[in-house]
Parts: sequence; C-alpha cells; structure tokens
Amino acid sequence: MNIENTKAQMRKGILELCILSTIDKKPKYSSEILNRLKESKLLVVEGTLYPLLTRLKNAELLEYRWEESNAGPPRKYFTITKEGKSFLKELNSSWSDLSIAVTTLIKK
Amino acid sequence: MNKTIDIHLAQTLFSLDEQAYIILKKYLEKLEFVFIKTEGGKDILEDIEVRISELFSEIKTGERYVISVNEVEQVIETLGSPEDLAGEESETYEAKSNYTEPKKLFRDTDDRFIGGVAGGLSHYVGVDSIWVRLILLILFFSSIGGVVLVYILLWIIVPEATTTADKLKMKGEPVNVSNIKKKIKEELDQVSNTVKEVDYENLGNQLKKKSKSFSDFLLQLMKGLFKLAGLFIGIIFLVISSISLLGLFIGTILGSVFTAIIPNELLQLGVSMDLPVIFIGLFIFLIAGIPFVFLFTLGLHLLGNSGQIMGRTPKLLLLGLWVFAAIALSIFGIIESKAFAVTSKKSELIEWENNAADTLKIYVNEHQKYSETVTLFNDLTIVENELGESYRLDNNVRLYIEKSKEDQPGLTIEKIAKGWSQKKAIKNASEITYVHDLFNDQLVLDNFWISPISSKTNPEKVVINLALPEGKYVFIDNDFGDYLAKKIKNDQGYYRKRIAGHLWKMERGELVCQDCESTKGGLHIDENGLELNISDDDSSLDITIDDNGLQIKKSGD
Repeated sequence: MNIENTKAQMRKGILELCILSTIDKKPKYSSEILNRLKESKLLVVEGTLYPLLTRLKNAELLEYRWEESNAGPPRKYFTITKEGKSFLKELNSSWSDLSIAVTTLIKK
Repeated sequence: MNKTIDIHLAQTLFSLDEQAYIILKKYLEKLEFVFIKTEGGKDILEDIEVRISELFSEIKTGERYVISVNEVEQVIETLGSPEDLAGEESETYEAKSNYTEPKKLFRDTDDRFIGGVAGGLSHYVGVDSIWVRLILLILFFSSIGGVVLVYILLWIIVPEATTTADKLKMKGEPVNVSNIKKKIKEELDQVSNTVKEVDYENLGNQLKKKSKSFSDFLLQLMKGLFKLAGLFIGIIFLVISSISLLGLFIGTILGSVFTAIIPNELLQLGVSMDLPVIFIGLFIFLIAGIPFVFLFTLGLHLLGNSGQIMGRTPKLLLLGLWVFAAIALSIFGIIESKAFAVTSKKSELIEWENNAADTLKIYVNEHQKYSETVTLFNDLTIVENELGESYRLDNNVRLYIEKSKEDQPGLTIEKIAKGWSQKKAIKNASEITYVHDLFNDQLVLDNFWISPISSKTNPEKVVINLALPEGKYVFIDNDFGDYLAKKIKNDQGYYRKRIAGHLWKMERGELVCQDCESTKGGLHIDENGLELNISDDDSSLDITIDDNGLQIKKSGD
C-alpha cells in the first residue's frame, strides 16, 4: 500500500469540490485558483490543476473566457455554470455528511 | 560560456540557457505524451505553458535575464513531473500501465546507418539490426538494387521515432509510468552527457537538425542518398575490381602455361617485332591490372574505410609502372602498325620453252607433301618439311589470264609482300617459295606457297599472270577453280571458279568457250559469293554477288 498514492487519491476526490468552491463567488483565473489551493496545501504540484479544470469544463460544470492582462499573456477566467452550482451544492452536502461521519468514526 | 536560446511561451519572449532549454523541451514533450489522449489535452498543455510563462515572468528580473537550468528545474518541480501528473491524471491511464501497446514501425534514428529504416525494422521484428542490414544487402544484390526504392519509400513513409512514447512504441515496451521515467532519465542523462562532452556549436547544429523543416528533410534525404549511392558504388567497385584482378591473374597463369608449351619461334609469328611476346603480355597485364588495384582501394574508401589502405610509395610505384608499361606498349604498337607500311613485289618471268602446242593445260598441285600441319591462328598454318624445318604455308594464290601482246605466251609469277621498309618488303617477298612446273603443254601450279617463319605473319600473296596469244587454247583443271582471279574476260560471262573445267580459246581479247553448252543456267554459291547464270547462243544474264557488291550483266538481246 503506497501512502502517497492514497493521499493523492483522497485529495483528488475533494479537489473538484474545492475548485468549484473557489470560483463560486466570483470568476477567477487559473493562477488565482492555484494560489488558493496551494494556501490550503491541497495541491502538491500545480500541474494537477489543469487536467481537472479541463475535465470540469468538459462536464460543463464551469466555463471560461479570455481576458487581456496588463502583465503577460491573456488569462483564462473561469466561471461556474448553473450545472456547476447545483453540482457544487450536491458535493457540499455530501462533503459535510462525509466529514462528520469520518470525524466521528476516527474519534471513537 | 553558454549559449542562450530565445523561446516564445504564451506569446512572451524568454531567453533560456541552452541546457535549460533542452530540459524544458523534454519536459513539454513528456507532458504532451501524458495528456495527448485525454479529452481537451491540448487545452491542458496550453494552460501549462501559460503557467510556465507566468512562473518565468516572476523569475525574470530584467529584459535580458537568462533563465537557468536551476530555475527551469524549480518550475518543473512546482508544476509536477510528468509521472506525477500522469499518476494523478486519470484512472484510464493507470489501467494502461500493464498493457503493452502493439509495436509500431518507426525509424530508429538512434541506431541509424542511413535513414534508420533497418533499425526501426529490427525493433519491429525483434531481431538485432545487423541481421536486417545483412538481409537488405543480400536483397540489394539479388534484386539488382530494387530494394533501394523500397528503402527510400520506407524512409519517406515511416515516421522517425522522436518522442519517448514513439521510442517505447517502437520497441514494444509497455508504456507505463515507470518505463517512461526510466526512459526520460536515460535521455536526460544522455542530454547532460552530450552537453558536457560535445562542443556547443556541434550541439547547436544538432538542435538545428532536429527542426524538421521540409528543406532540411530534403537535404538529409539527399545526403542519405549520396551516402547510399557511395556505398553501392563502393561495393560495385570492389566486386568489379576483384573479379577483374582475379581474371587477369588466371589469364596470366594460363598465358604462361600457353607460352611454355608453344615454341617461342611460333609465338613470335604473331608480332612483326622481335620483342618477346611475354613482355607484351606483361605490359598488357600491368596496364589493365593497375587501374583495378586503384579501383579496389577506392571501393574500400567508399565503404567507409577511412584509413590509409595503400602507402604513398606503393601508389607512386604502381603509377610509375603503369606509365612505363603504357609508353612501352604504345611504342610497340606504333612500330607494329608500321610493320606493313611498304608493299613490294618480286616478279619472275617464266620462259616458255615449248610453245608448239596450241593448248595449255593448267593443273594444280596441292600441298599434300606437308602432311604435318599446324594451324595456329585463323590464317596461319605451320608446316614441317622432311628435314624437320618449319615453314609458314599460305593459300593466297591467284591466277590471271589476259591477252598476250606478243605471239608467245608469257608467264610471270609475282610475289607480293609488305614490310616496314622497302628493303624489308623486298626481303619478305624474296623469301617466298612458290613452285610451278611447266612441261610441254602442261603447267602445274602449286595452290600454296611457303615462307620462313622469321618473315612473320604478313599479308603476302602470289600472283600468276598468264598472257595468252590470240588463237591459243587454255584448259583449266576443275581443282584450280578456287585460285582463279576475278576479272578474267570470257564470252560466257563466267566468274572465277566456273571458268575452270572448260576449254577456252583466246579471241579478240577474251576467252571463248569451246565446250560450253549453248543454253545453260545455273546457280553457284561458295565462300566467294553467289553466281547466277542463264545463257544461250544469243544472250546471257549474269547476276553475281561478291566482295564487289551486286553485279548484273546482260548481253545479247
């Protein structure tokens, strides 16, 4: 059993929830999302984010638009979609259920 | 001192240290492989490039800042290694890890001789590339080069294995993370070694080479073709020169055996000079053989043998020998060609003692007394007399008959010979021995003459002129027909051989047949040509085809 692998799997499960949460309030571009996720130590390597964003986009849970930036190349701004919002709601409730369940289970 | 390479990442210009560039390039190639099969993989790669650009921008402090290897490595660490990303990316990828992709045919440019086709084929078939090359070489000879076309076709069609994924597919190794890791490590090691060992200009050229623009491809194709052509020409040179040299050696050995068997005096007949034949053989051997020796070494060079095959001294020696042989043989040839420059004849008037008889009968004496004859070349016959002396024997004898200006018949024998000077020609002519016998009304002529062997082969001949007075008769024996000259005037319009066997009378400058049937026709063909004759008392038609071409003669009505 590879501990790193298990950790990665756990993070991966909740990453989608976290990404959607970061852009729930207002659109963000990828580096902003990255910084938020890195602050909370959810992301080990940045590269992981991009496949996830693409997958969420393909599932039409989020969409993006290009915006010019003052410094550097144009940025992709990600916005949550309607489907994304309801998906996030689902995930949120299941996450709180799960976290309560797991916390109580581990404490006992 | 390091080179820098300018790149564009997400529309931003960065200057990278050369080695840093190589690492970044490899990294992006690996990522491409990881994400290429994912839906939206292109977007992912684009996003990552944008991110790299952002990270570089953070590092970059000034306009001319050069990003170092360390900084690239840091960026890669931040973004995650391809293995990390592959591992986290998807389950479908994990599922693939123990699955061997079917082998694909690529050109292996790491194991290339020309275009890497053989290398690629060897991976595909699973044997060592040397065997594929050997088979290709055998095929080249058995298909008379047809395989070259197939090779060029494969070269053009089969893609080059450039990425790690290609190389793994080419070798049929399972495309899983550990393998890729292994491969990347191998290649990075290789790259760093290259950087350490190879001078930078060379490396830069290699990088340039890797940019596969069409013109580069064409250039490489041309280079390859030239190399290929050089290789094949080299092989051809080797084959030709070794066969020729072998042939020359065998020829020389056979020639030596031949010259050992045949008496030298007979051998010398072939040439007019007294230069020993063996020298001529040696000169010819040198002139023909030495270029093949050089051709052989050239062939070795073309096959990639770059070392000095022959030293300077042997080369010069061979060249000198060749020039010497060429000059000697030219001089010999010039002398030889002058050998028959002058023609001379020796005439002999035969006294006609008994001219009482009206009819002269001509018979032939064939060379039966020389039972031992050896025919050496086409026209050269050597005979031995009772004393064991050798002579040259020739059948070049011709009899002419014409009207005598006097009342007496006249008989002259001309011996015609050639030589490189008047003196030599006369000497050659006088050495000819020709025997005739005149007794009463019978003239017996030899159909041959002999001359000493020392007089050498020579276009000699004996001409007998018979001048026949008006009103006299002549009979020519059938056996002498072959030795009659061409233009003997006769009323029948007969040509050479047919004149023989008849009784003729000299009338008004031509021979008139005394026993020919009034109407005759016939076709006669021999080695001298074709003769068709139809005649009666009043008219005649003769058609002859011989050395003079086609002649149609019609007389009478």
